[in-house]
Amino acid sequence: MTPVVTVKNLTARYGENIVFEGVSFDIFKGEIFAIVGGNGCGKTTIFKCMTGLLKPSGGKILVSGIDPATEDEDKLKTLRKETGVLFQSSALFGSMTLYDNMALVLKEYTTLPSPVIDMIIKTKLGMVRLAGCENLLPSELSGGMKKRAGIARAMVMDPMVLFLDEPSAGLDPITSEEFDMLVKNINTGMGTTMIIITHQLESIFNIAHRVIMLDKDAKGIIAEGDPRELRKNSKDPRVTAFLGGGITRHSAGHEQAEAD
Amino acid sequence: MKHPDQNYTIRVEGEKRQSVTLHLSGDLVTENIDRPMAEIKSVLDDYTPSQLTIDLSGIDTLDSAGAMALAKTEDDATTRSIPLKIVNMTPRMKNMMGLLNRKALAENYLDHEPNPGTLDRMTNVFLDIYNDFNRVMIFVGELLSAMLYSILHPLSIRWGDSLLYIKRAGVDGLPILGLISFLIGLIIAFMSSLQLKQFGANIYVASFLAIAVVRELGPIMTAILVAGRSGSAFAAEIGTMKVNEEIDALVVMGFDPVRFIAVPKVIAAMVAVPLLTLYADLFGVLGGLVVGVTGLDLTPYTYIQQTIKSIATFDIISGIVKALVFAVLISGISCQRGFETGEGAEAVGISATSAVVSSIFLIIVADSIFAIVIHYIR
Ligand SMILES: Nc1ncnc2c1ncn2[C@@H]1O[C@H](COP(=O)(O)OP(=O)(O)OP(=O)(O)O)[C@@H](O)[C@H]1O
Ligand SMILES: [Mg+2]
Repeated sequence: MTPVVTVKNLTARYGENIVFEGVSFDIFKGEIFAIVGGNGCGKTTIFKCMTGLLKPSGGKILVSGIDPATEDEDKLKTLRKETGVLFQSSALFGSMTLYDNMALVLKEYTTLPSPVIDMIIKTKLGMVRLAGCENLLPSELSGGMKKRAGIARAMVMDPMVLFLDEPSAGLDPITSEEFDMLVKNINTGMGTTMIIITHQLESIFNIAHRVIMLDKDAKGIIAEGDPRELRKNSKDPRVTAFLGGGITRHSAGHEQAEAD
Repeated sequence: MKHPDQNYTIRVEGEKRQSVTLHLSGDLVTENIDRPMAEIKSVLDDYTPSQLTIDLSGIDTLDSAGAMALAKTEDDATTRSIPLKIVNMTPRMKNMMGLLNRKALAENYLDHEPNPGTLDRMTNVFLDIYNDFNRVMIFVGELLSAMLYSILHPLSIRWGDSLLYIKRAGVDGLPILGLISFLIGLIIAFMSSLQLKQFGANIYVASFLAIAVVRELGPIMTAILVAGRSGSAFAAEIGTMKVNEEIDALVVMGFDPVRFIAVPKVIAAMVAVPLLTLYADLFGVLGGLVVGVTGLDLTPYTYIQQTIKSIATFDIISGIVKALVFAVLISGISCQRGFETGEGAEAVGISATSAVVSSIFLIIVADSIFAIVIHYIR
């Protein structure tokens, strides 16, 4: 298997403050890959590097063979077409309806006639159960609906890779579980590689095939692998504490893992 | 050591350089914790005891500051290698002591940075201005290349947005701009008529006002009004998009934010401001006309004739050119301020304010340059 995303020796710093150094991992086709870790460990930073919003201060990233920090317009254009991004705040354009939010991308990258564009948008909105909402403005949606609209917009070009920044933050447990199922269905149905940044333990265990865990003090990765395996077998107290659900629930988490 | 007006007492028992016991009683609380701390420290300094015992049996209240004072004393004693025992601690006090992060307390990370001297501060101000200038220049480059691209690919311009901003910056501003121009025309005509009347030069009020309005007041007033109405709106809108990650979303979707967001606004301003300027000219002259007809015994016909005679085509064209330049300056700097917005709601307000201030500053600077250039062209 060839990796879709390769991160090699990545270092990021803001001024003097080194967030992490020497971070390396591969993400393979069709995987749901989670990046977890405590507050301030650099998840958002790594996300920004992978989407090309931030130039890393060292190391290399390849997303489907293209460096997101490249200056080459054509390569960037290809990369943008092959990746979708869901931001933490959904980042729908507030002055546009859902329809326009999605049509924008289709019109930029394709020359499809508008009936086909309509059809594609209807399909995508139906997939996230927002059929009939195409003429609403983002301000008229609830938080959960915004997230689903955001993923519909990110999926509108059927990207190979989808980045999701804390998708379930701010969602209630039921909505968040529904959202996880949506992510899983898209993953199995369309084979999209998903990179998810999250704090939600449920999400990690429900959908992630593989996870890396970053740590603020270690300034890098402290664990990598199947989240269930890690919870059961990791020797690192930081890892078991996090995946077991906090320091006090640590042992309870272990029992649950064994019962699984 | 008795303190009748204080909420605590410290009694020292023992001899210098021998075993010493401090009997603390009363309240060790945040209010005046500095005093017991200083006193305990002076006891350590004076007595340099071989062994120190702190007796807390008399303490009524110990809050976290009191616990901090005890911890500090412990640390002090450790550094001076004086063995210290704290006795008669209630479980509540123990809990309070347990809350302290002793390691953090020992570090001096709260050391305040030394206050910068006047010279440093001045250097910083100049550095800020220099960096700001650099960022603006970089943005000017991006804007120019985006404008050039848009001119070469007119279909890529978001004309819908441009129209919307023409409406917001132009049409929606008509009532207020008309009113202000009319009143300023009226006031200036009235003031000048008081002087010119004395020489029987009533008719020259029309000339004076026409020249003043068309050359200076019309363009300047329009520009300042647009800066206040639309400059702030542009900056706040872009700033909010920045805070909402919408700008980031544009980038990862493969759009150039400057081309996508700034260009329609600049185009809208370039259409709206010259038209608004002509409109302001008209209303300014109208204000003068009212004064001329009611106060100076002029007929509307003679007033208008005199106005037309006084203005050269050059004046009108130079006014429009000025308006175009002002439009680019206002929309450009406002967009730049918007893109520069930091994190949070406060940053949006700062950007909006800075957009208006910078716009007005640039308008005045550009107008001065125009005054000189036009003087030599003429
Ligand atoms: N724009 C910035 N300028 C300076 N330092 C920053 C900036 N953004 C983040 N940092 C620093 O980088 C470190 C990592 O931040 P990052 O936002 O990547 O953490 P995170 O893992 O996403 O945390 P959270 O779970 O709280 O979102 C933090 O220590 C933070 O102080
Ligand atoms: Mg984050």
